[in-house]
Amino acid sequence: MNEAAPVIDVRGLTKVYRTEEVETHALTGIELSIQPGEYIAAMGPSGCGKTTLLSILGLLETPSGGEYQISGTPVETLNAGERARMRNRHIGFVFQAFNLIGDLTVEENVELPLIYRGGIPRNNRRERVRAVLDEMGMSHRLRHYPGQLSGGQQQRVAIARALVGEPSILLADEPTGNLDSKSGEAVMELLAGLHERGATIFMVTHDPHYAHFAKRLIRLIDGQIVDDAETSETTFEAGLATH
Amino acid sequence: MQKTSSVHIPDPSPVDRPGGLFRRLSPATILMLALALGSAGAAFSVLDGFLWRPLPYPHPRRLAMIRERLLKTGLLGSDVSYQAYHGIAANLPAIRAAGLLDMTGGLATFHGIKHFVFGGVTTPSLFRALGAPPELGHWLSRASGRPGGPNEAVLGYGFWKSVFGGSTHVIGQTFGFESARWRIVGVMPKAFYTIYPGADFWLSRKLAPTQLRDTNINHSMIVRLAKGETLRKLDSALALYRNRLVARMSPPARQHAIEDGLTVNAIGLHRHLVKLYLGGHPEFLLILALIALVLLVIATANSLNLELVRARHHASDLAIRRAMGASTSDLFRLLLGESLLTVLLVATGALTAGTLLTGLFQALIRSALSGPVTVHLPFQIRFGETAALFTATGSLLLVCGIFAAARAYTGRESLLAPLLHEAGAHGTAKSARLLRRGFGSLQIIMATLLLMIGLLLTQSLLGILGRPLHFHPENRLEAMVLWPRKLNATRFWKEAAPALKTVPGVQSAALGMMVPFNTLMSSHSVIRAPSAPHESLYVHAIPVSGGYFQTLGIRLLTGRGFSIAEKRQGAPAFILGARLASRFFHHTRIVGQTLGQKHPVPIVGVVSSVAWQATPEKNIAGTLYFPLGTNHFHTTASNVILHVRAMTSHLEQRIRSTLERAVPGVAITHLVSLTTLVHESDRLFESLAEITGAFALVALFLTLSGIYALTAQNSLNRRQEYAIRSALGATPASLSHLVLTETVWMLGVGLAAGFALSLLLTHLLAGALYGVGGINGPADLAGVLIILSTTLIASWIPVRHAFRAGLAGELRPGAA
Repeated sequence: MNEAAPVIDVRGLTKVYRTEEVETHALTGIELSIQPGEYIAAMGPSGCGKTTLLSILGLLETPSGGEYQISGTPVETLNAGERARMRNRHIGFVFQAFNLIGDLTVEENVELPLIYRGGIPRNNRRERVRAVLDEMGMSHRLRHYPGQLSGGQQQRVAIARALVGEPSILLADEPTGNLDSKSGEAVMELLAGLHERGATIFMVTHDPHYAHFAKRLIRLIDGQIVDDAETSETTFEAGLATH
Repeated sequence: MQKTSSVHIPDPSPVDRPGGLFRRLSPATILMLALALGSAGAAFSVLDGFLWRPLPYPHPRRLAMIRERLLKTGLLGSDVSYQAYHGIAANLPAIRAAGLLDMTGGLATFHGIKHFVFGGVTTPSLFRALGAPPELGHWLSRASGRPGGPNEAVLGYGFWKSVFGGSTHVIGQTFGFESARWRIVGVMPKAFYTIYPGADFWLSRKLAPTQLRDTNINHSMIVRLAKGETLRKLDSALALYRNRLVARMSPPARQHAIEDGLTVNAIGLHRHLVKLYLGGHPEFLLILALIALVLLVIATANSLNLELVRARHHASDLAIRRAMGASTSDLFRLLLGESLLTVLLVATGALTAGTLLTGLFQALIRSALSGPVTVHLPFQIRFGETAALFTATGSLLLVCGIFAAARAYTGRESLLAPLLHEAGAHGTAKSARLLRRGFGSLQIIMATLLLMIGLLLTQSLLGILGRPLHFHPENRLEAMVLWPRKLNATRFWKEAAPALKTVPGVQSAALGMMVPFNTLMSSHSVIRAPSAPHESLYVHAIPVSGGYFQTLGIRLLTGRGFSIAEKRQGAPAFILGARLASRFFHHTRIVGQTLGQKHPVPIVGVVSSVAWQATPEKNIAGTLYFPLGTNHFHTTASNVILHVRAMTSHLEQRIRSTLERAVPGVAITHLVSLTTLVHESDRLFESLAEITGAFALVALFLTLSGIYALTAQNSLNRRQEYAIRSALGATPASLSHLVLTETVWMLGVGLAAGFALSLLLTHLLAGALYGVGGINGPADLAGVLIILSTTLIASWIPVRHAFRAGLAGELRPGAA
């Protein structure tokens, strides 16, 4: 394990959804520390809290309890604006459904995080966008709209958008879920390549095959981390058993 | 509270789901359309009552009034002279029957009991011209119109009921009026109406051959066109008659007729009554129709916009139903049921709103027309079958049209989807956004326009209410009096004035043929300008007693009041109102100048220009006053004005009894304070402003609710986009900015175009409305701020609601 200051440090994190009749414990006592350069996969059955955990780590939702720090900064008490800025600065998202904005071109979609960061001249933004898209092999589709791209291409654009702001960590939520196996494999190769070049990645997946691309695997059941180990220590069969 | 470990993420998105028919309806669409159609139905009722519902006569479109007018002098009334009546009625084949009518009033004695009565003196031929059969008895006989013929009277329905209890034995009875006995020969039905409201009776007029040469233009002439004739043809015949008349005149009279712009033409009786009863402001109907139209446009744009947004959900709903096995006929039945139910609900709401609003209009118009004398409208304003049919048909057409347009647009999208996928699916999203913005802008344009009309009328009303009267209505009473024929005005006043001065509380009293804001009695003349002898002007020419200016609080600007000799002996002298004085004697000393060519009359003073009615008089050049005793002034009615210390009912009774004691046989038709008269004159304008204001509020409500519903639906549709942007670092402020940009875009276009349109409208109405000009800073700014702030709030509320509900769920697969 890397001993440097953690990108993400979570202590005793809980998340409870309340309605008038039901109190639902989505996460209970989560302890998680992610060091720079780590590639972590989170696995578990449907409804175990994987996506909730990712949403909280990505500051899309607020925890009900516990402590949470990003690069040493406590984030529980931040207001919505500060959380948005923190998200923009430190976190890059890759979603299962790509979540590209249909009315914007590939270039405009990738440019969005830089626009929200503010203070970056347009030319610099566009230069950066083209560089990242080039890296993803998508620079020839700059002017296309998401509707004109295949699923694999859309996900590469989504990864480009996640990377363009040079975040501290990439949070990927089932990044291959909407892709065929070939495209899925390509995306996973891409993420592995990014990790090789030093990117920190936290990926939620329920596919043991793709989980194997990560270096560390945590397992969630009923909102609790039941296992946290290097992927080499985890048996493939066990992953399949939980699927 | 139950505790469970299974994870369930609540879905915050209240997106429409397939369900019961009622759940598929949009309350916003139903409410907006019902309100707009109800308002349009109510406006239709008013227009129908005034313009389209026929008057209660056989073939009412063939009835007209003949007008002899001096265009260049400003004499633009609807009267004729005896000479013209005789010449036209006898010689024009286009006219089947013609009648002459004058107003009369006074004390009549029925079975020894005196009643103050009001009615008409008419040639018997009037009844044949109007053609309405009597309720009882018969019309005035032809013989009663000839010199030496019998004095006959026909009673009005209301008077017959109230005085004779509706007895059929009334026929043949007699009554006394103006030193003569009159025999009742008939009773007219309830709906019968001449140009005077609420007449108690009509008396036969006998025209002597000498009278037929009288050229004074002050009688009303109603004609019935012969079958196949039109007003246009009649106008041509009247123009020929006018030319023949002018050709027969003496050279000086001919010159005057040409210089004064003598014309003779006809106006439909219905149109004349509309002008008469709308206080000379028929543009009220135009404004009302315009407002109703604007409301309909707003509601249609609103609903169409909303349905376009909803149609996307409906399309997916239909696709799911089809996938579940629904046949085309199942889907058709579903859509038909949805449409018909919406039509039914909209029509029910619209009919209810229309009935209520029509009732409100009736009350407002009735209140506007109430004055010293209660006015009964000849027009029936009610939410009748035609208005109901109009509203129901409107509901059907509008709802079906809106639904069809929304479905057609969505259908086009589905049809083109495969192509669009290749060519750029973004195209439809952009066009939908443009369409949405276009409709939104249209709503704001219309709302701005309507709000500006409301503000315009309010501004006009405030101008009317705030304009200088140049007299003091406070603590002034006005009594309209009729005295026995044996007295003239001077003799009446000689007996009445000393008695009135003895009444405790009366500070001063005066007599005048005209009193400000009492439009029942007027006195006019055509005079020639001394500086330009070829210019004739139509003016108020008012005989007044001594103390008239002082009692009314009219300020003497220069010169003096009438001298004792002038007042007592009727020595000719004029006092001019300031407006007329400045028109005649610009830059010259006025006092000492004379008016009149044959008999020059000296001008002895100038007083402030009094406001005689609520709105400025367009055709009147000004006012001149002359002493009561001047020879050519003969009348049996005038106005007594009193300046009192305080108004009490006791004082009113004292004044009445004092006058009745001092002048036996005098009749006082009404005794009102000038403050009341001024207030009642303003009622029409207040009612106008209230109606327009109510409509403007409805429009604002429709627009705001439309924008609210649209933004809410739009926010719902774009939640996923907001969630993506939020995940990428967009702050709540930048997201709000994003959403509100669309509103600001609509606001910018809407306000600019609406403001430009309202300026155009202001320009068009400038002549018709008092004190309305071009740009009015404070009022226009207020209008713009109201639209701006309320629209932004209406847009912001649903956005805030959407953000509060949380966006994380939108990023999961299938959330879209």
